[in-house]
Amino acid sequence: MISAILEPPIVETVPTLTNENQKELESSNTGTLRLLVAIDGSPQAAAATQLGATLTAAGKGSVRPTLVTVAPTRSNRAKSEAILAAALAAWPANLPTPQGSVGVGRIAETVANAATTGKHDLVIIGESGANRLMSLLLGSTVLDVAERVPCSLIVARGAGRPLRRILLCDSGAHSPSLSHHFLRQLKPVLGPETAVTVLHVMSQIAAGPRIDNNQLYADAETLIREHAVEGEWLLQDLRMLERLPLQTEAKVRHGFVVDEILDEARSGDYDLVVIGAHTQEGWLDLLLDDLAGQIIAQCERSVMLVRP
Amino acid sequence: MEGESAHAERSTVQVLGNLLAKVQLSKVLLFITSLALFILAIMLMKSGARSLIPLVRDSFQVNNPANSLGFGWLFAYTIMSGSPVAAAALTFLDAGALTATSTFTMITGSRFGASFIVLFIGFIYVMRGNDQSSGLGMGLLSLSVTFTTYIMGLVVGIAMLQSGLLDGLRMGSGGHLDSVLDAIFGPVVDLITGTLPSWSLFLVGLGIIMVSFNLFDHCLPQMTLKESQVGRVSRMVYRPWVMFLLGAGITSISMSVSVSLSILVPLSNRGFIRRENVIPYIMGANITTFVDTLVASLLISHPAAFTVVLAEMLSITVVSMIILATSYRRYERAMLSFVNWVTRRKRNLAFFMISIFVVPLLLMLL
Repeated sequence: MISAILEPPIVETVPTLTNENQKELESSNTGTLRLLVAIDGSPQAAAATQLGATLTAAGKGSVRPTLVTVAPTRSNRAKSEAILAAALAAWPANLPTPQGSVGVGRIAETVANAATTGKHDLVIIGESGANRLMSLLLGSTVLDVAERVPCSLIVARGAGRPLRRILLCDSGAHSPSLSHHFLRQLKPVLGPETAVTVLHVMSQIAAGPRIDNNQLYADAETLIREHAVEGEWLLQDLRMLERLPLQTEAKVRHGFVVDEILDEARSGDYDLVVIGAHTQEGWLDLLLDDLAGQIIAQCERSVMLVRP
Repeated sequence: MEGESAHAERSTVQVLGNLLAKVQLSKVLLFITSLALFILAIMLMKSGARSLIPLVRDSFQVNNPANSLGFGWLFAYTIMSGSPVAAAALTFLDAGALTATSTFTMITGSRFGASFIVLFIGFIYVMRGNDQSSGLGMGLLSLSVTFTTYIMGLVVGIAMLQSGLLDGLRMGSGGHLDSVLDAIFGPVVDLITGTLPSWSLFLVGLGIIMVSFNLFDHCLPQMTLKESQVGRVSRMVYRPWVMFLLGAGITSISMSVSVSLSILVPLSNRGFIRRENVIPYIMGANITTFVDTLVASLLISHPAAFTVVLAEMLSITVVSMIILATSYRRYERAMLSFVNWVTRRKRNLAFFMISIFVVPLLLMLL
């Protein structure tokens, strides 16, 4: 079922949540998750395909998958078609059959173009497997894709396990909260067996003596009880997540943001780490550090970059 | 996001407008007074430094770069300030008491001593029974960053001086500037030198320069940085080079690392700042804190004075740039780990405090 170059698959319209209203959130349950899985025949791409299949199975008919391969030039198109055919053949027979597309051009641009024209909600891509030196010299394809795609993205790593344990890292910078966007986008594939841990990392230190720094060492429960800013963010996330039958927990860690998220992801054996996209525009983008890019580059788990 | 960007730009413009509006005549007069006292102090210290040569060389045994490092370090502890010691080092160079390399290390030592001040304030706070991680964290971090970058800077700076790399950039007070300053300050200097014994001139100059720095601190406009983008350092994580430039920029006005650090406190409601933002800020501040010493070097007739201060600034810049470009993440983790280690136990803190007094004493004995 290979379509023409980047021809958008036939899809339904996903209802868009405009506020945090319970009713609206529930109504989105009937929506469809349009999934675009970028593959290139590598073992990393196999992980992406596997995760795509896992989400499709969890969606119970509400996930519409599309597989896309990218040929650098037209002369390589036959090879990419073969990769796509193999991936389609390996797709579990009991799941809805994915659409297939072959694009020609640079990977990041082509995948982003496919996601845009196909109005996809989520792109899944495998870690390229390039070593750190090569990434440093040539740039990371994954990060390039992450910057260009207009929707949320999952960088798949590992065995593509069902999403049982999710780590949602909320900095408090997003409004509405990250959990709102996360639920809006992944709701079709979440179930009562899913446990979501909301993590906030406090990387602040006291700027000088004579500063009450009790909150710099407080746990989530204390911050919520004391109505600290971070506690309010966590509470807002928990309330949002509790609108679905999910197992939820709030957690606070103290240290460098990237280090603490990576450490929690490793020690908590999570299936997916959810972070907000680096969305600053203009000159602010030049000033602020790209923590999302650092987490994607270094995390050993699958990472979902949520784009509002 | 667009709205936020537009608001940020508007608020930055507003802050600049407020800043200009707040430049009052009294502050301008205060600035002129502090500058005049600074020049007078340098002239007196120059006049008095010659009579201190036996004291420096024979009594304190300051005759090599190692013990001049220790001397500058302890001197800054004694007067609780680094800039007057750096200026004193230049007058010793001018008097022939120190070589260019020893002047360089004495100025470095003055920075080691000065970085203790932030820690000392926190230490007093801890002694009153407060939480030591809160009281000492920022002071320890400032001191750790200063120590590590300046120790590496010592190697780079001494290599710059000894290779003659900066010899083409030698600059001293020109004949025209000398004659202008003599015309203005000469009568006052003559009056003081004619009244006081020569050995006391240096001390009087040192006292005046400390007063001038104190007056200068009062000249600084009450900057409403909290309203600007800078006020987001407690919430947002900036790129390291942005904080590096911010630290350098603010300190080029305040000329004091401790003042620049204290500016960070009111930037957030709770007095918190992101770990990620602090270290590059201190690194930048550590470079432009030499602006006043650079001005002092222009008032010294010795041509190497300017070169020594320039070598100091360039070496710290080179070291900081290399760290930021190559191993910044490891460096910041190492600095924070060290601070955590020191504040974890009273025994560690005691060991550290003893070390920073014993090391300069040992250097003096070399």
